[in-house]
Amino acid sequence: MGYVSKRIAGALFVVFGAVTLIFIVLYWLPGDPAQLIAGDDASPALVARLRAQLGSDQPLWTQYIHYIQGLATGDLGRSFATGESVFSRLAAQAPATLELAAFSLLVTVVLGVILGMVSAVHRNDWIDTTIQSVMLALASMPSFWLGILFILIFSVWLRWLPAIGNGSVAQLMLPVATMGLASAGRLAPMVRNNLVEVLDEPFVATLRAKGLLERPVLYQHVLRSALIPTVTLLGVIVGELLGGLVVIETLFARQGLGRIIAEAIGNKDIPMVQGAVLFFAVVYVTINLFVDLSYRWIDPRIAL
Amino acid sequence: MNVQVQRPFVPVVEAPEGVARPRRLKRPVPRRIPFDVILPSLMVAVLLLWALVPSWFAPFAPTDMDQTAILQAPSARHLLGADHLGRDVFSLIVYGARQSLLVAAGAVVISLLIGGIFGLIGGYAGGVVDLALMRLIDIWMSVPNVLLVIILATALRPNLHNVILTIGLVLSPHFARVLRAQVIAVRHRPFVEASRSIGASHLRLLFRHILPHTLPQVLVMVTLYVGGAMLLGTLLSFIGLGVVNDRPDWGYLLSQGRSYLTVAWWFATFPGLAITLAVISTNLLGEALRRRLDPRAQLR
Repeated sequence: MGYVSKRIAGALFVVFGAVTLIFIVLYWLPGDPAQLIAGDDASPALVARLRAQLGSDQPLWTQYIHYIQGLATGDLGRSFATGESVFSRLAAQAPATLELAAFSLLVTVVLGVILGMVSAVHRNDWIDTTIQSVMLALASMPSFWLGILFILIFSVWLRWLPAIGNGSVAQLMLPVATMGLASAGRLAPMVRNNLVEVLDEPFVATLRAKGLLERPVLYQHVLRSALIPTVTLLGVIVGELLGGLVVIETLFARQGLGRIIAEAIGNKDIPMVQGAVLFFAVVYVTINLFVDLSYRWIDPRIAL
Repeated sequence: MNVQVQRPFVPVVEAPEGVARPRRLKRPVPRRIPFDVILPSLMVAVLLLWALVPSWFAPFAPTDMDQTAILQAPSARHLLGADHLGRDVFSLIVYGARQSLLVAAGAVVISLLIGGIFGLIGGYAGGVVDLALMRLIDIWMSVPNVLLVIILATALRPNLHNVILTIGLVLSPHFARVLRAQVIAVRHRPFVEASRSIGASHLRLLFRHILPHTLPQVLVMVTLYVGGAMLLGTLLSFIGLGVVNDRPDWGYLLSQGRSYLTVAWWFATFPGLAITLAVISTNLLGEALRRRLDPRAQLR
């Protein structure tokens, strides 16, 4: 089996495992969906009827096989709350989320790499200290609080940008800035540390010793060497970004999967939450698959 | 690594006759004051005091509703303003420290226990057991943390135990990985082998000889993850999956303050600032500990 197909098989295994694990954990957890939907003061008869209707009175094995059979045909079940197909609902909302995710990731990468680079070049002087402090603050604040501050400053006080909705570029600005900055706060320090490590390697001293200017040393040699660890980090950052989006979408009242999840939480609509989380897991695993595959392209020496 | 570090040769210079030897100082090199530890420690100490004895610091009780102060801006009486019920925001923040810290600390303890057991077993047993556990961890980590927390919390009743359990479960693979790596690094060291050779049991080897060597990493990790756990707890409260009780809670305050953004900027701003400062202080402390305890981090 070639490397690529091996990796794809591995990714499929992980996704399948995640589905199974989430399913089992949800089954084990003491929360009873029928009771949760019916409310605490519902009659036992109603709860029993709901349970039968949802299939949650079946044994774990039967429920699991039923769920996997559905998955195989692209059926993620039906919403507890509205009865509509989870898959079609998710498919309708996914583009809005992917748009936000793509732009946020772009901002994260541009800011994170540039600031990390500047920080590494100015290692331990005031520029580095300043950048590191700001990044620490960004990484330590709840991203939705940063969003609230942006809304307060740019929408409430300055009235420059709309705080809610989606469709226009202006409406995309605040959520993208929030998510991008929050994730850059995590990426930049990691990029810096990678670069610092490479800058300390003997080959850099050799390059300098043979009289190469600092600029080519940095751009042609150091950056290239730091590319692989940075791409790896990106895989991790994407996970946090996707998670953060759920809250940010809700905060900025945008259409998208985050909103579906928020609504589903309110209704205790477990199939909907399960489906949405599965979608994010698939995106996350796919991106990390590409990260793995990109190593060979970045560094041809890596024999895969 | 068995690299012998050679000390540079320093010739001993005897003081010439007749020259008075300078009196030997107790500490030849003046030590720098470790501000990087002291500052975050102080911040964490304040936080702990707020959590333990909030009544010493808060000017009002969290239940004091002043009808005349509803949504009042910060003033001498209400330093950080008042909320929609006329409660003092600063007092609410002080009283809210307890729940936020409880959730964060509880979650980290849970994840240390669960992740620790997985990591110790995987690292010590090796082979198939290790492989199976690591695959399990890969799978668990293939869902982004926030989403995993959300899906678990949705299925559970929103009480303190469940929120702690949820966050603890989500963070545990991170602990498992670090502990596993550390156990693997130590398990074949001579002192472990020596103990094994005289018939020490697996449990004795693990707990008596290997575990102590993971403690520095554990300490660093615990400190670093308290902040992350706190952020996850806040996020749960913010989206309505947090602890439901009558105690003040930073995340819940923030979500309430969000509804009054246009009329009362202080209501959402200050609870968020409290969370941020708390997380910054634990992160700074964790980094400072790491610089001292983790040999790999020394050179940066």
